[in-house]
Amino acid sequence: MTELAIRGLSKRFGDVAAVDGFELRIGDHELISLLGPSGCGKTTTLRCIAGFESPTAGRILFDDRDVVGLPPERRNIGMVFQNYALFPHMTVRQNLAFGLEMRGVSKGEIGQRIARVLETVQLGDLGERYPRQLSGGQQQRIALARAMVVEPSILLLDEPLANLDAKLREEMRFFVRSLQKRVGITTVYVTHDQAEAMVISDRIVVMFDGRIHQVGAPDEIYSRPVSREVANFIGLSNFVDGRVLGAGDNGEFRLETQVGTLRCAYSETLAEGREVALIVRPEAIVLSGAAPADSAGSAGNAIAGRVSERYFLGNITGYRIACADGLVLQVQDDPWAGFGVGDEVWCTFDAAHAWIIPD
Amino acid sequence: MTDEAPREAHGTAPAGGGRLRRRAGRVGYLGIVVLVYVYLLTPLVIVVLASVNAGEFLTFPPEGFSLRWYVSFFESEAFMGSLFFSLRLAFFATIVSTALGVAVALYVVRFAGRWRERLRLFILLPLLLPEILTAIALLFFYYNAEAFFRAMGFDLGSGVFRNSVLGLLIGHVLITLPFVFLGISASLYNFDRSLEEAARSLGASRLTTFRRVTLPIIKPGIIAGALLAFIISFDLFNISLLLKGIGIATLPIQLFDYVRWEFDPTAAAVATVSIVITVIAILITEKLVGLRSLRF
Repeated sequence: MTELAIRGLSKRFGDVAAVDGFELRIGDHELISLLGPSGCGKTTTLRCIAGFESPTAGRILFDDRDVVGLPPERRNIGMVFQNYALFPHMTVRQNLAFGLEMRGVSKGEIGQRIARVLETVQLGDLGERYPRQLSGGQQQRIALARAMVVEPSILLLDEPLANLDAKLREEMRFFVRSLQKRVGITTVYVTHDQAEAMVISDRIVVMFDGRIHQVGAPDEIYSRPVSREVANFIGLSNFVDGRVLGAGDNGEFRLETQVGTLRCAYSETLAEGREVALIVRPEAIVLSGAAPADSAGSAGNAIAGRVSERYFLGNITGYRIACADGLVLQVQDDPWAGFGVGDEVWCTFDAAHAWIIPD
Repeated sequence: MTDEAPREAHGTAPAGGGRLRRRAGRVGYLGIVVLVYVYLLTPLVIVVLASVNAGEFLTFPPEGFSLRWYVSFFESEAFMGSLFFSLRLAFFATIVSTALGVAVALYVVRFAGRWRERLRLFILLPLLLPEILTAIALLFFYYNAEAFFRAMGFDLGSGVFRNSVLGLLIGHVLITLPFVFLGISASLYNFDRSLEEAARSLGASRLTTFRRVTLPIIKPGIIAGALLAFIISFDLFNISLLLKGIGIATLPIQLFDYVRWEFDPTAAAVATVSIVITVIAILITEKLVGLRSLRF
């Protein structure tokens, strides 16, 4: 199997830097997602890896072999496109055979490998159909099979689930994930859907404006975002601006904010007096009717407020809590919590469930 | 009668007057369409009927049924010669303009960038200008080109372009190229480039990708364009008249010459044969790619 290393990759279109200084090592068997809003350079990065764009600067190494000068057909990649790009004038079998024929595989072996891959994607009896006779989900799986049957060194997927309806998309996430794990192929997956990236990836690369903001495992990206953009793009966030008062015990910092002193976990060192933002996720906040006994003590933070909105989402109930000094906190609580609009509440959260973004 | 009401009226319960007006509008519209078809098809029908006239002159209605004018057509050396010349000329014009058309359309659609619209217009010019103007311009060009080569000391004999089949072929290619170009560029505009990228990612070179993916998918556009080129070249008159060499005659020219002096139904028989050839070309296309691909 193959390791993929991207060193200082940049791609400019005229004056616009689509990708700027992209650095990444992708290990064998690993599935990496490039996640970001449209225009963030994730697709351009993928197309550079595939060989459809030639980078302005930087190197792309497949197992220490620089492929930048090679055309796509000599990189031994497998690629899945957003619109599937199945050849409309060929049957499923001919589509799957195409890449094998290009590699000079014998007729007999082509037959065997197609049968095996059709089995893998659970579409064994559709070989003689034309793509237009298949549903979107089936086309998607054939596209995946066509990319995998050639046993590529790297699998590249460009928003492969974006054209499917919501229900099917969720099923296919798990299908792609388990297939990739079973085959153990190094994979780069481009998506703008944060939930998809969370489910599917070993690591997520979050990109904005052509630059990498953060690389990390899904839980790390979610609970310890490095910037406001990352925090906003992935899930809902509450930000409370503040100033560092000093370090507390066990890796905590005390912050002076508009709603009093708050405590927060953080792994780096922070100078006293520095302006920062505290971020806390809506589901990390617990509502209670009475002030917690030790609001000033130990690990807890507590902010007083009044419920200004309440909305029922089935599995959870969402609230907007108006606090002092114009601060509004979004809170998600279990659906049985019985607070109504206008109730005075306390928003409490553990210091370990909050995080600091140094602006 | 109510079941003939237009479907849009269903459920809206329109006033009687409105429905009546809509009906009248529909009938009127249908009437106009019928008139257009009558206008287009009547001459064809009359020609076909006149060709089986037993009488001596090109008259309508025909005086009895006879195929003698077809016999006279097929026995005429001049007509048969020009028929086969026209078929050959149309065949080669089609081959050349289709090959050129594929290359030109690929360039204009894929690579021309900001020059695309200007180039498109340029290629379509022979379609937009009066044919006779194109013919005169081409004749001028041939004349000057030959004068230039003679001045350079080449011996051109009776002429390379003027009075030659080559000159005529170039003229026919010029006129038919826009049709081929339209057909092929339409199918290229609708072409999904990711299909080519998929082929490349699977290990196909540019050439193999073109041969195995691009070409089969744009084939209907190519065949539709080639068909139109053939029919148009076969019927071309003005440009042939100006560019043909002495002793060369295409079928339309031969026909023109004939009806200047004779007025018997042979002319109608020739016209009918032309119609049949055109219909055959259309039927072949229908068989190969379906007439849908003729929609640009």
